[in-house]
Amino acid sequence: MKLLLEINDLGVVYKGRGRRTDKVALDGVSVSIQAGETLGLVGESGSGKSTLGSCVLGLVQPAQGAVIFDGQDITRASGKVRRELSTQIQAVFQDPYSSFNPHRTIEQSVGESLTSVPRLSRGELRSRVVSMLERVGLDRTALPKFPPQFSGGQRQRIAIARALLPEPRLVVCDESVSALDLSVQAQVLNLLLELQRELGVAYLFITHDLAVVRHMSNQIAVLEHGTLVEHGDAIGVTDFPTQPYTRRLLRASPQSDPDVQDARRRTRRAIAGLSGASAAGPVSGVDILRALESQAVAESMAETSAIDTTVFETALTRLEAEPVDSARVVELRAAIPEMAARTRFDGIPDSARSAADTARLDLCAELTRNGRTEGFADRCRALSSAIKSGDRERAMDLVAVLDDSDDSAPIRQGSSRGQRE
Amino acid sequence: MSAVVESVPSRSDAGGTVDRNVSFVRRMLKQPVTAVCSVALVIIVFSTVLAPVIAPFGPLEQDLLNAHSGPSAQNLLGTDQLGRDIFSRLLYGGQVTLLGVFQSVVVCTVIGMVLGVAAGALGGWVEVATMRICDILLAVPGLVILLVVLAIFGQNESAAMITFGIIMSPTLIRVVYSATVAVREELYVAGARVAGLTSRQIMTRHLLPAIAGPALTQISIVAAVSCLAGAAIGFLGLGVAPPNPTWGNMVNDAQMAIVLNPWMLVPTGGIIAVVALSLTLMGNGIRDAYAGRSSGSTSAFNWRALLARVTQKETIEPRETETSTEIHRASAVLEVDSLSVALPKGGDEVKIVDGVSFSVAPGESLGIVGESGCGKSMTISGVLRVPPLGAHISAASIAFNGTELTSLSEEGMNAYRGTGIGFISQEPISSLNPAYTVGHQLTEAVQLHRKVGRAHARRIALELMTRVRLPEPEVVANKYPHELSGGMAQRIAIARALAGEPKLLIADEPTTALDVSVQAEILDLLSDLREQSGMALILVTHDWGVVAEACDRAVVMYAGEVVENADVRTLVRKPKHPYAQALLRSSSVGTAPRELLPVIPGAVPPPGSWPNGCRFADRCEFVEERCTSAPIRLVHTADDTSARCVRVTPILQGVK
Repeated sequence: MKLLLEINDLGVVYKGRGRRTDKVALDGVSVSIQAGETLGLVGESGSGKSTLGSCVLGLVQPAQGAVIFDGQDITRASGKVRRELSTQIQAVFQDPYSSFNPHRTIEQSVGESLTSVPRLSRGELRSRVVSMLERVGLDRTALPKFPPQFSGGQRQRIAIARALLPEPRLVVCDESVSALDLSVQAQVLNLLLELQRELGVAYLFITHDLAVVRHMSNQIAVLEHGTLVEHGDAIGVTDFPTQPYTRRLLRASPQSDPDVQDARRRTRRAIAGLSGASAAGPVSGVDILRALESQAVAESMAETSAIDTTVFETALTRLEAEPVDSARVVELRAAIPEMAARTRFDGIPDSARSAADTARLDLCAELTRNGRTEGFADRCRALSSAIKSGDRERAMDLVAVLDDSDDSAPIRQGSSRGQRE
Repeated sequence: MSAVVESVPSRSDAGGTVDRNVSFVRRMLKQPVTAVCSVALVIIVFSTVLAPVIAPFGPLEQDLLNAHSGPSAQNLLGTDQLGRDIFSRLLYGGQVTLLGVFQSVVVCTVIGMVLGVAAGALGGWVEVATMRICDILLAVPGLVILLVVLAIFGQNESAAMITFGIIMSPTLIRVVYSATVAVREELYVAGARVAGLTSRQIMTRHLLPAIAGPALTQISIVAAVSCLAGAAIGFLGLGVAPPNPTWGNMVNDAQMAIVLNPWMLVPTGGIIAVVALSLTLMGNGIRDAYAGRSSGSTSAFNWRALLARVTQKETIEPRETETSTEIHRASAVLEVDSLSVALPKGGDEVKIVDGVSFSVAPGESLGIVGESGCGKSMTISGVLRVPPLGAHISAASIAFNGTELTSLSEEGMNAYRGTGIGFISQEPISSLNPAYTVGHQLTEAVQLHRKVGRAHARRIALELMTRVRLPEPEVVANKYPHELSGGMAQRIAIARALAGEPKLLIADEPTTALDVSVQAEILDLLSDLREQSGMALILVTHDWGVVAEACDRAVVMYAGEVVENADVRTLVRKPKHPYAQALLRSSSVGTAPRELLPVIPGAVPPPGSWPNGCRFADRCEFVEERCTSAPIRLVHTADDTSARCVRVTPILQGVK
């Protein structure tokens, strides 16, 4: 398919004034968008994601690189070319309050995006504005009203109406839903998706919210301090991130499942504890390993992330088929964090990862030495069936007692304490 | 399509609704003072212009026999030392003085608007150069320049007044400049550029309307000052030479005859005072009319709201006190029973929070969840008793650690704010005073709550900063709020809240304005602090992730009411109220990429238009007849779990 927008090696420097030094906002970023598709741009504040949007809109002049729209270089387009482009490229900004002039009516504000279209009669303009307003769920009674008379969600709908009125081919959505409540956000996201299906418009979707960007995008680009750190297929980037920064972002974004949240927090704390940054005091590799294991089970029971228990199942069957040695036990145990996408990478700091690996080897060696591998395998089988049957509580209990002595019944979560040191 | 027409909430405030379509001039004239001033000015200006027609005598017409006479039918305002009619002379003299005002205002306006807009809109060297010129003009002594000009041009009043306009222009340049810069930063100007408007279109549509208000106000002040300056020049005898009248040299005449005929000073000085005062008051009127245009209110100052505030304390009264004892949990840190908060609207009251009850145990973390407009934050301000002006708080009981807060005086309440109950807000940076270093503010808070010496307080402040895991507390302590990142500022805010060693910390959307990774750190910090000190936490949020991360229990609010109150695990897995269910579903964003999300149609009904029955009924997929007939009660479905839905029991049975 043809590329609608190509951004090549874009660099932006904000000149420092007075004592302030120059600030590099973007450094050699290249991304592209195909017609009718969505490119998600994620990053934290200061990552340069909004600057990139501003370059596309011609609001910021890049120091280097090129912005190519539909084969035409618009990096330094003149005012006249820009005005002509305004029917092709539009924008929906974050703040539904300051994106409208409070002194102008909705009709004036929405109609503004057709200013550059010549020979449009007043009646024609009004009828197009009305049909667009109706399309976003408002009606003609909105025309003579002023922005403060509308709620945040309604204003964002009006902003979308204004952006889509000239039937553009690309809309830059800069944090367009960040200021909205969850339920209103869902309504506005649906509206954007529907309009994309109907009109074939492409979006450059800029946000800090990973869940939202995953929901909206075909491709995702992750920015950190002005550089592109990861770029690829939306599901790939969010489920199998390769870069530490993306992983950190994913780890930090909360999910509405308390078990998962608990487990993630334990992992976070264990990792922080290893580097001495936690108030909870020093932490051993065993803590990290256990945190990772229970997180893996919690994540897979929450049914929202990509779960893959095949490695675990394979290791389990291999344990049955052949004589059990320490290596097989380690293999089985190592398969637990592989179950959930998050825990596959959640141990990221290398020091934490290696501490957990060492702890795993030690624990498994101890199991073999004491001849308790059979009990361990039983508990793993029970865990496997609990996961398959969706028995969340049993699975969570089981993963907590993997190292328990064989005769103790695997019920209580805290009973593994004695084995820890 | 999923989008549904949302009900348009009519925006209004205590000052009453205002038709925004009313023209600016009419809104200005609706203010009595401005109307009177405008009429006075119009009459004065017209009379002076028409002086040859109106004046009964010529300006120099003498009647020595009738000198120093008081007001009479023949001489309305009396006569001067040469028997000249003061009324006629005032009319003719006004021509000179008012022309001078006009000249200086025109000069000042042209310079101010052109340079101000240019500096603000173009930036760069134009901005720097203009601002330097302003600095120089402000540094030069205006009176000396005026005297020099008068010396050179020889009593040429016009030259003097034009010079005066130039001298006055820097203030206007600065006003216009800052208004322009403010508008330049607005998203709608960026939007207009994206929409393909030319610079001239942006100027006339967006820029000029926004700077007109402050500029007109400043111009009216310039006019008033010019009037006084013109009079001063005349008084010193430096302007138009006697015997030709100006208001200034007429005051001079009056001053010389002050013993003989004190009356003379009244009309001559009076007219100057009336004109200057009218111009100043008109400036205020213009400012208020402009403020009204963007805020929807006609007056910037609302007396009624202020009056309501005075009676506020008395209106807090324990209601049905006997009912509160039975559900009192002795262990609770905070026990709120039937809290309502109402705001005045028109002559009436509108409930924002309606009979909210909840309790927090020591060390527990309670989430208050819901969309905006459901009364979450207002509930908190009701508990802390810091509601908006004119609000009416009522509650059966608000018990903190066994103390009944509703019966406390304002001073008694102050002893609990900060010390017993800590508070952190959504905007960490704006909750700190920009004029002091954060170390100073923390030390101050410690001194206030712990009654210790300054040095000791400083030590405690640094300890607190370490507790909230700020790196290098000594360095951070010497920084000003604007030098901090959002996450650091929120840590400072938490440290400040901890200064009083609170038993309960209330956090209103503490992480909404922060990046996700910083959010995770702050939530971890709050959890750790809770574990360490046994402090209870109330967390107001609309984010289910935050609830799952940091709360043990949660209260779901809808349209001012609690609709569900449950343990977070139960709430997230098996929500009972359809609103809680729907709200959780709409947080499933990201699970099925690029598919339409399950949405709750419509919007939260605004306060004042809540239905009698279930307030969620018109958005609920399970709505039945019994839902809308009568108010729905909060039903206990298990120990410590309750929901406000007629279907609660059937839902429970259906789930197993």
